[in-house]
Amino acid sequence: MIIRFKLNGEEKIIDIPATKRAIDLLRENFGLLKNKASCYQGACGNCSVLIDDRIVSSCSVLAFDLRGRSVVTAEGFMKTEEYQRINHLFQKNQYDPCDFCRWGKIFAIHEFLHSEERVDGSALTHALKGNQCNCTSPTLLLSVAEQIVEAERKMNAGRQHERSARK
Amino acid sequence: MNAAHGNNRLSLVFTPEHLGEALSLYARNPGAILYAGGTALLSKQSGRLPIFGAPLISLKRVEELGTIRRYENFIEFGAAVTLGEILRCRESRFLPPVFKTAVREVGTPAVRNTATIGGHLAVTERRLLLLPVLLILDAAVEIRSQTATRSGEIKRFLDEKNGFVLHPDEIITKIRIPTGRFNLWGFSALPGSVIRSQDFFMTCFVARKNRFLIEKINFAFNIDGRHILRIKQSEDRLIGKKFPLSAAEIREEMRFFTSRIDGEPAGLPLYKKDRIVNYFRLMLTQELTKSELIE
Repeated sequence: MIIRFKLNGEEKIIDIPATKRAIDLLRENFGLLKNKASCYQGACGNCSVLIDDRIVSSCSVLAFDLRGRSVVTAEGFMKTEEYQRINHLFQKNQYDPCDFCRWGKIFAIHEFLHSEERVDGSALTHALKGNQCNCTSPTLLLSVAEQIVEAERKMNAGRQHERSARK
Repeated sequence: MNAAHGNNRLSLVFTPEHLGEALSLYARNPGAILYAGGTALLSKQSGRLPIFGAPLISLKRVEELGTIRRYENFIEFGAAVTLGEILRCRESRFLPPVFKTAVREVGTPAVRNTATIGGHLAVTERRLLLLPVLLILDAAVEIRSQTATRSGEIKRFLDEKNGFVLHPDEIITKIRIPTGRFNLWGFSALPGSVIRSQDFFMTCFVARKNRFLIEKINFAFNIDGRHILRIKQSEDRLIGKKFPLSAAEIREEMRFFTSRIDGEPAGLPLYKKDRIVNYFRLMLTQELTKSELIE
């Protein structure tokens, strides 16, 4: 099946078996190896990518389903300013998850940032529950995620304030 | 409509864009598999290249199945609306809180962004989390085939084991969730339990309370993801009762409830029955004594 979709901002056209899993397409056909394939059940969060800016387990999506959609993998997200800010707070807090779960956690924080949920422990814990790797302390992850969400929302509020002042 | 062949017939995928096309394809391809979010379907496939053994009909691009509409007394979701969209849509603030709470409990954000409400109901091997909640809310479905349309409350389409009964060429097309009917609700899923686990347990209730009087109450339990338990007689007995109940009334309701769940569902271990009884007691002594909440 020939599909056309946007991958990390670039148009791609590829001929692949329609029922290949998206994670395998990204890793094998495009060599994007930072997102890992682990459980193939949509449970571990290691294969998380952004599809149309929403977090999705790419092992639970078939390749044909990517047609006309926009996919951002770890490699693409690394080029964004948002990633730089998230990574800065990871480093500042000496929070260094392993290569398997790192991107699932970052994308889960990204998803929460773009939701309208209030920052409280329980909402964040809920948002992060798709990442079951125990390489780092869950308490530290929660605390870092709280800092990130607060910093990002403060920054966005500041930008909005500036924009309305200019008007 | 597009049809795409992979290496063999096993990976034939149809991607209709209109409901008429989807229904006609489904009628012409008996045994075809409907693909909406794909979460349940793919979690059953252990191999890297899934083999389905039948053509897939993807419902994702079917326009009519992706709509969300608010009416005076209900909100109507197309069956291919994802659970993530349900939580984010403008209409979500009008949804019963018990339903929104339950949707948030389904899987992870990544799962909710692909799993669809229609797919959630159509899974036959397990009774998933939202089914009991939709049942107590008296939600309705529309089911269509190429030649007929059936619609009505979800309970009408369930068999004695609470599994959805669909004819071979039928597709769930709409789910209608009533709004504004209840002012008290409760939802509880055993912490850490997941629907695939043998130890899964969740319970939910909705009630309409006018000062101290219960005017309507529905409650349900999901046990192990296999059984949905509703005790209608207990619900009926509570209607018209004034809360808080006296100790004697609580004893009487507990006795009646316990007698009803004796032997049902069959083969349920004692500790699971205790959970059901304990939650019912909690509902009588605490949850239903609360003042009315907001919808």
